[in-house]
Amino acid sequence: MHALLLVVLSQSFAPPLEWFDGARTRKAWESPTLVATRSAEKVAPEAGAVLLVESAVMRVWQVKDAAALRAKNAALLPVLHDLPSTKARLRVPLGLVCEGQPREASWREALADRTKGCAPNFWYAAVKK
Amino acid sequence: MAAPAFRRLVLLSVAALCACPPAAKPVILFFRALPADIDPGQSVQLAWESSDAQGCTLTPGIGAAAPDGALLVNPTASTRYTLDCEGAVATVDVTVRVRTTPRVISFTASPTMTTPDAPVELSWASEGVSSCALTPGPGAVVATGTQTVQPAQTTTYTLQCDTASATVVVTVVPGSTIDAPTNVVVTAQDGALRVAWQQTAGSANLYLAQVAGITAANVETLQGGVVHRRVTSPFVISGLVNGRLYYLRLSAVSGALESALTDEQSATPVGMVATGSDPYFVQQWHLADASLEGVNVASTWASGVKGEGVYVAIVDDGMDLLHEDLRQNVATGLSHDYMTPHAPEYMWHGTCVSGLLGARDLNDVGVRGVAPRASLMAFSLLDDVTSQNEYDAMTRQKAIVGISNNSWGDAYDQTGQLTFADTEWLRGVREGATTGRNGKGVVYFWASGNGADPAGQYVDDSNYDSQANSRFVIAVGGVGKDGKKPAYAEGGANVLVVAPTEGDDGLGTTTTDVTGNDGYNSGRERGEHANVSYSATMSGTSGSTPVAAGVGALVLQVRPELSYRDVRRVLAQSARKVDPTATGWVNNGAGLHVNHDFGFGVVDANAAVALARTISLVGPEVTASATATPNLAVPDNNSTGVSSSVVITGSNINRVEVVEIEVRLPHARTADLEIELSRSGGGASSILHSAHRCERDRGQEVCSDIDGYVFTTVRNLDEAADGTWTLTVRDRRANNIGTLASWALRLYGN
Repeated sequence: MHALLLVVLSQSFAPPLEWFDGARTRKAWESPTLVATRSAEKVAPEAGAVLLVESAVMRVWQVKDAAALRAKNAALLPVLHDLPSTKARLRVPLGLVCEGQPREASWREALADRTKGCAPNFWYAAVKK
Repeated sequence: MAAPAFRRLVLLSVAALCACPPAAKPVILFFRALPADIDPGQSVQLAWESSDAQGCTLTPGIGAAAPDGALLVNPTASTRYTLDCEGAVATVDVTVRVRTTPRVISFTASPTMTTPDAPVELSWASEGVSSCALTPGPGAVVATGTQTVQPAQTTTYTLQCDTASATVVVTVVPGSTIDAPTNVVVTAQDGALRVAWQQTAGSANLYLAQVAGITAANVETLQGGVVHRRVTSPFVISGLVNGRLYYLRLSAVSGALESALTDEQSATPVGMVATGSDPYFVQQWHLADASLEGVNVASTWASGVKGEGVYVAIVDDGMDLLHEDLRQNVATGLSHDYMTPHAPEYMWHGTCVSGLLGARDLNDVGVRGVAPRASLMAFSLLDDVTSQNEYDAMTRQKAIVGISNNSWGDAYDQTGQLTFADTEWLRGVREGATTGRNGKGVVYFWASGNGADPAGQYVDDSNYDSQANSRFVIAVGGVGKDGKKPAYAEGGANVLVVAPTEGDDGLGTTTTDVTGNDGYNSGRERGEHANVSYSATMSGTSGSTPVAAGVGALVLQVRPELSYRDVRRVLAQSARKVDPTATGWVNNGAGLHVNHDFGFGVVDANAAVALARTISLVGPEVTASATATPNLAVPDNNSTGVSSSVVITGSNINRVEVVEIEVRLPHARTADLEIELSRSGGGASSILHSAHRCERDRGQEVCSDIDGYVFTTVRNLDEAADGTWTLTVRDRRANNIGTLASWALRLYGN
């Protein structure tokens, strides 16, 4: 556990990704230590992964190296933050939504594509106020 | 013999008639008695006048009388007098009033033997008089009646009725000990407590205070401490404050004796009395009147306005659609679940929210919603919040949805960071507000948030949440039963109104809970209702928002043609000032009271519905805007800061509705910054961003960029738009600097 903590503390955010939200350019920071899985996937993405957020449809896991893990497992989804902080709002890009209809797309494609009436289709963790 | 004489008389008379003009017939001109009504012994004058008569006869008792005359008679009984003047007859009645001799028919005491100061009832009846005198005691009393007395010693009571009188003796036997009252029952009333009890002797002293720990010795040193002495059951303590908790104890007193005090009891006067059959209704303080900081809805309901015909979308984690107190109001086939199957644990929150807004009334179970006849639909979003689903939930059934309740937000709200709304969500609310309900718009209610710092250091502000501060929604903050802002409740220049919810006093609101042992009330929690399908612990701005939204439904029932912009004005103009000694209350340029923490005040159903009936519609939306690029360095740790102004002229906006302020302000530590918008000519100023804590993550401070972020304010509601608008930025802490690069002002009004 201490080893994991040290790994997490040592990792930092890469330069932000950018996308256009229709009005202005937005930034997002890919979490170096978080990955997301659909809740249908019950197995932890790696041994020792810590379940941080669990909803009915999505699980967010803390792992040692998110980028490395996703390179090995394409089914894992990245976790993006609105700020370079693990405490900032998170988004899990699922693909595109075009005129209200979901469209499968890679998350990088989703961020890049604001044409054709499409926008990224993010999953968010909600809070009940 | 008689017959020949009569014949001769007739013949003579006929002869005379033939030789002379005919004789006139006697007539009685008047015959009267003065006075006609007399007491025994009084005289009456009889007077009469006749014509063409030689004489009269007056009967009874008089005999022959002159044709004209007057005389006194003294009848001893009612008499009809008859005057006969040669065939002309008249009568007059003289009534002799019967006078009853004054008499006391009865005069009793019950009981006739008692202990000192115990109540004794005296009863009496009399005749021949209009009033009597009772001594010792009140003096003048009615001729027949009762009077309670509390003799301290043996007393002879005398009833004097004119010349008649009667007495009764009440024997008082002092006791050596006296038992305390028993079976004390305290009933809450409007501004009062009714206390009933039983005691074996004497009367009672009632000790009352606003704090616990009453003794006979200390009561008058306690807050609100008072003794009501020698009172009898039942006793109503009036003049109390609704919603305030009172403590009381009783002792029996008799003469110089006083018993021990009863166990301490407490009760809270309420501003309303249950009139229906919803057993937990009396627990729903949030529905009470203004003195309880409730939404003041009773007279609106009494006028038949309960939300009927208004469709309400509960956008939340779900709803127990079969709940006994909700199912009658669920609109068949209109709900939507974004996640199937939907486990019960994912509908707790939404079920509580739904009950506050639209639980059925008068159905013999549970509670009442603010709009207890509204038609509910559940859009069960929160466990699968995606951009696509957010858009769908904001626009689903938009043709008929009048109210959309949203007691939710992003999980990383409440951090003090600026959060951008999802673009699909924004597309949804814009579409719903502008095209929904045949162009009048869905009225979105949004919880302001629970991220204010309980320790008093301001952390989050509703304006940092791009959903709650959207110009297309109505942001709702909270107020507790204590009339104060709960420490957690987020204020903000975007907050329009507040509504009741759990405050710092820990008193939550009562609403529906998931049926059975599931839900917030599992039957094991302390202070919860016995019926586990209801909970007393609803809290947060999640709880205040459906209360305000319910009022919105009532407003739309009486005036369906109101747009979402009209509803915003109705709620603001009719809101009630709360916690008037709180800092921050000002009157804006239109004379509306407004406060950063409370918006325009507590939403008030009766006032809102009354205003909705008459308010003029806002008409088409008019916009105006201006931009500035000052590129001003913000001086570090300086209370003056820098200011930049723009001038709005010829806008044709007579009444502002919402103002958006988009700011670009690169700064090394934005959490140091205070940003204020002000307007010339007495307009309200708005704190858009306060210096607050900047989040630390892994040893690093992480502060939101203010880079195109859009703040909003509703504090200028109904002010004119034209004038000089000034943005002031102050850096309140040392060591980090930045620049007010540019800003844009966008005004929306009519």
